[in-house]
Amino acid sequence: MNKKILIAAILTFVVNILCIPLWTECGYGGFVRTLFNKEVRLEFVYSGIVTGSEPFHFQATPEPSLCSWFYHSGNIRRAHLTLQASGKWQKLSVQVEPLHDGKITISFKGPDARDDYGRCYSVLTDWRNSKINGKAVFKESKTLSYQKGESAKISVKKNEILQIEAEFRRHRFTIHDFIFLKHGNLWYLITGNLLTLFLIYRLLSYFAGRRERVRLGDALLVVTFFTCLFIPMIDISDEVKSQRENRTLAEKPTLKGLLKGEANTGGGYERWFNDHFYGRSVLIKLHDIVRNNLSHIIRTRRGSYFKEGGWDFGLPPLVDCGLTSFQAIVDNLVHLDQFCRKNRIKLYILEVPRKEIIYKEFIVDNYGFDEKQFVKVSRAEETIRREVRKHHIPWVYPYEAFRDAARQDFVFLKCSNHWTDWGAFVGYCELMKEINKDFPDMPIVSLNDCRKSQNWLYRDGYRRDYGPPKHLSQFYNFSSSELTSPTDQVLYNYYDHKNGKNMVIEFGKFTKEFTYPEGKHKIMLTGTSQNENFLQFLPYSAARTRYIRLNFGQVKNEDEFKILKLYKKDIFSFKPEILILCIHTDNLPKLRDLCSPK
Amino acid sequence: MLFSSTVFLFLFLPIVCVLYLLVRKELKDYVLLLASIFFYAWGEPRYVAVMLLTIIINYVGALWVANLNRKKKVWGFTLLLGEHTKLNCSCSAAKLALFLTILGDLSFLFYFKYFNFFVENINALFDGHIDFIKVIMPIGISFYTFQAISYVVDVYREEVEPQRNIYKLALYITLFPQLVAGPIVKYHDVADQIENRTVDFEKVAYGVKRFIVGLAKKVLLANTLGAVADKVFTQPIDQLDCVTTWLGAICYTFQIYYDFSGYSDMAIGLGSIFGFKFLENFNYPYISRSITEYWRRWHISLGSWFRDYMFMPIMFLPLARNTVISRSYRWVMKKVGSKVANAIMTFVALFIVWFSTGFWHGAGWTFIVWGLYNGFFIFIETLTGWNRDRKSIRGKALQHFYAMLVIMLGLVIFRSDTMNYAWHYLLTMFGAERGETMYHLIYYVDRIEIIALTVGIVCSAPLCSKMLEVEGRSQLRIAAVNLWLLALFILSAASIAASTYNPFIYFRF
Repeated sequence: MNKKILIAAILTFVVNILCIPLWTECGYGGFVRTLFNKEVRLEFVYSGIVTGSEPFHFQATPEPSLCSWFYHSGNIRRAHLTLQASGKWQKLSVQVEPLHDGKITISFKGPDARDDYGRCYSVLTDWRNSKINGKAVFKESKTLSYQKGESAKISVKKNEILQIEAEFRRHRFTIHDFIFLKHGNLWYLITGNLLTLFLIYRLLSYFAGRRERVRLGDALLVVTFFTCLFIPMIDISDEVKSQRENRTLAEKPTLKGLLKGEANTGGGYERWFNDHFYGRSVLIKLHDIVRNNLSHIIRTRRGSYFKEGGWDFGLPPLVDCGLTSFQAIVDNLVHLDQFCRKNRIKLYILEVPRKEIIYKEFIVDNYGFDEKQFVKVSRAEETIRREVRKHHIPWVYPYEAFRDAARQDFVFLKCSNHWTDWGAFVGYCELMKEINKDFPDMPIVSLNDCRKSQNWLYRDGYRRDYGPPKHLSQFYNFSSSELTSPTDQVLYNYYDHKNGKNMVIEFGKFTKEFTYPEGKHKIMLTGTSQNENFLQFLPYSAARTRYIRLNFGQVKNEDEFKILKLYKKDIFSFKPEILILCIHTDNLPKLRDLCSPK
Repeated sequence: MLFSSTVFLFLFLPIVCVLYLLVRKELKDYVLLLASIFFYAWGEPRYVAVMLLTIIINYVGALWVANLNRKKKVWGFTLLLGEHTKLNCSCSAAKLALFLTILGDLSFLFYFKYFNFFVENINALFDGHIDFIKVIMPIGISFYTFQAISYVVDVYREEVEPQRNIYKLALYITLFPQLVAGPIVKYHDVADQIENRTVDFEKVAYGVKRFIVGLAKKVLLANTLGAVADKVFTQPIDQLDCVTTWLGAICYTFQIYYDFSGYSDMAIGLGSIFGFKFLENFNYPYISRSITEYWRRWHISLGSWFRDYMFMPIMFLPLARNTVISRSYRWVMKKVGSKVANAIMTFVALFIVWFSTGFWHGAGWTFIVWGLYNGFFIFIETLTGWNRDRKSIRGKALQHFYAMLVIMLGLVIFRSDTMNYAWHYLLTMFGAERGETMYHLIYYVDRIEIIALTVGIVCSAPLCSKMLEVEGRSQLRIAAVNLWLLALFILSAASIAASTYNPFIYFRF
């Protein structure tokens, strides 16, 4: 018996050693976090003399992700470089070239891990030997987090190249970190070790009593199989949001539901476990690698990504609207129009055509979709437009303009259903033609008023950040390397108004308010992320523009277009003269609930 | 909980295995029972009550039947002394007890599975408007009801002793490896194992291997082919052409095989890990050369259940003394001869069995038609002798072609939501109809689906049937096979983690 206990104790110790990687990162929260976030972060914040609205205020190699923050008092440009760390020290070498005179703050940090509400996690990373232009910032190893970084502020001159060097690794648990254990982790450690000891002891007792012939090959298979079964429960992550998947992960249901016998509790636990088990991302990646290497086309429930060419398209649209649905959509739009008229607001509808319709010949020729289906669906949608127009509601559907524009430049991003700036401009022009009939004094922005730049990154999202291609795509769960094809490296044209400095933007939770002194009238624009590029132009026509982004997660997906229920107060408080309802064709069925009181 | 879900694979199974291994022998049954009830309650806790009620009914019913059987024996002894009235009385009482128990079992099945169907059809037939709340079917009710019936009938036939420990009977009915999708384990096959079984390493190793094979069949083959079949079968009929419909039918034929046989493999594997030995449920059905042979190889546990508990009793009915059926049979035999009378009897038995088989698979006309369709071909084969083996290669090939064609067309009916859809689908398959809008084949299949289909076709023949055998194999060969199995397991786990497409077809039945 003593022998068995001794062996069990040794094996428990071995298990502890093997588990060290699980303890290599810890937070300030008072308990050991077994997050497997292998990222570290280097951040640059540039401030100082900024003129105009230059898209880039410094260049860096390797290229960082840029975010631009505008303030009334001036501009601060911010960029961060996120690096994949491992358990070993890795060297970092970055060159930064400022495009203006000013000051630059360089921070060495941990990764920015946040939950759905924007609350930060504290995840530690190790840095050492950091130098800027050969001058040491700190030499000894430092454990840093996103909240507690190590910064250096330097005055720079235009085109002066800064050489940043450092070494980094994922934080390694040290004796020093045991200090955190006193906050309660010690009990986890003791309980875990006692359980392990007991389990190993029982297993030893069980196998000691057996006198069977065991084949080595079979023994290895059985041991590996059961080890594999146990691995996913080693570390159930407490992440709230998956950045990679661009969605909120399932929450853990309460135990009460299970005890009460609620039908969905099992399903709830299943969803929670599916989203949080350890090794999930590795398994998904493995699956993607196998599948992507075997397929020409990568399909999801929502669409297809074509490896040759690097385009993604939605599934061939299917008619989903019966006659009653058509009528419901028309009735809702008429109701909204009556509401607007009553409140002296002019309503305009801008429908964004489907990417698949604009590029239909391209899809038919290259990817074998049948054109008849598009025609059939288009006919059904045209019925809605015709019916609404009968009620004298201006409905702009820039199909022809988009088809023409698509011959000149990309109107949609290849890997997203979002407009490019060029596509947004075409839509803007078509809409302004209609608005000018009622408001002839509203200025129209031309491309000559804008500064053009090129980038292969996608500029989209709420704060107009640049991000890697596919971060908007429905294939966001694949890593970029798996989807990379040479044609992905398309340089898109981006347009920024030359008078950007005169524009004041206030960011709300899901709204943005633009004030532009040279514009006329007040516009309220309601639309989805698809229309963000539209804001490069529209606010320069109006004195004040309030944009309400409908799909910012404030309500459930199916409730997004319940505009009168959700935003009536905003309309009354802003008192716009013009209300623009910008909608993608795919969202037309959602208009059935446009004026729904529930 | 599905076997191919992460929560089963990475949470439930390892915990149950460890608990099972750690507890003392006398507690193992209770661990399995609790685990099985938890497994069932995971999705629908409310319906545990229905299952527990079934257990109680059958426990009491079987004891009652056994008691009356025992009296029959006592009275049988007194019969020798001339008191035969008591014997008849006790026989009828045992039958009545059996009948009432089965009625109890079937009443649950009928209510939960067929109530909606009957009311909808009554409404449709008589243009009625009976308002009703749709009844939701508890998962696996068809399987555990049949198991429960098998138990009580076995007791009635005195093939087994009634189980006096209700927990052990509960374990037989609820045992999670076969609870929700079979195989339908007959009580007389596992009665000894419930009482006394051992877990040894060889069984565990075999179970693990079998489980991995089943998981790979389900996840890598059935799901991949299922995606194609679903895409075709959910397409409006006016968007399908001849080639596409054949593609859909072929993919579905292999999907359903790998889906269900994969599940059975997993069940057998899990059973083996816990010391049980379940009978095989599939024996390469797609190499059959007749529909009769196909049903001997396909869902064997169901086929043998219907054979043992329905077909044979019906066929033996004419042999009973002084019943209406036996008298009618004799009358028919006198009129038309024994050969025709036998054929009529076979026809009647086949009709009842295949109607029931179809209806068991689902409360829908497509299932009933599919069942009768199979019965029809079996009857014709029995009459014509088509199911006899041909010697020539051409004859064998022709038989095989015939069998696969009939199977595939039958499965089109089985897969279709309505008979109308099935009819138009079949017409499109043979070029009698053609849709207006078509998609290129690339819309349905890519390289990965073609690989899955090829592997599926190859593996449906017994080329690798002895892969898992270890006796007389070299260590190197065992290691190679195990490495291959491990790779399959990792790929399957990756697919489970990544894919959300994971329905089990046989949960509907």
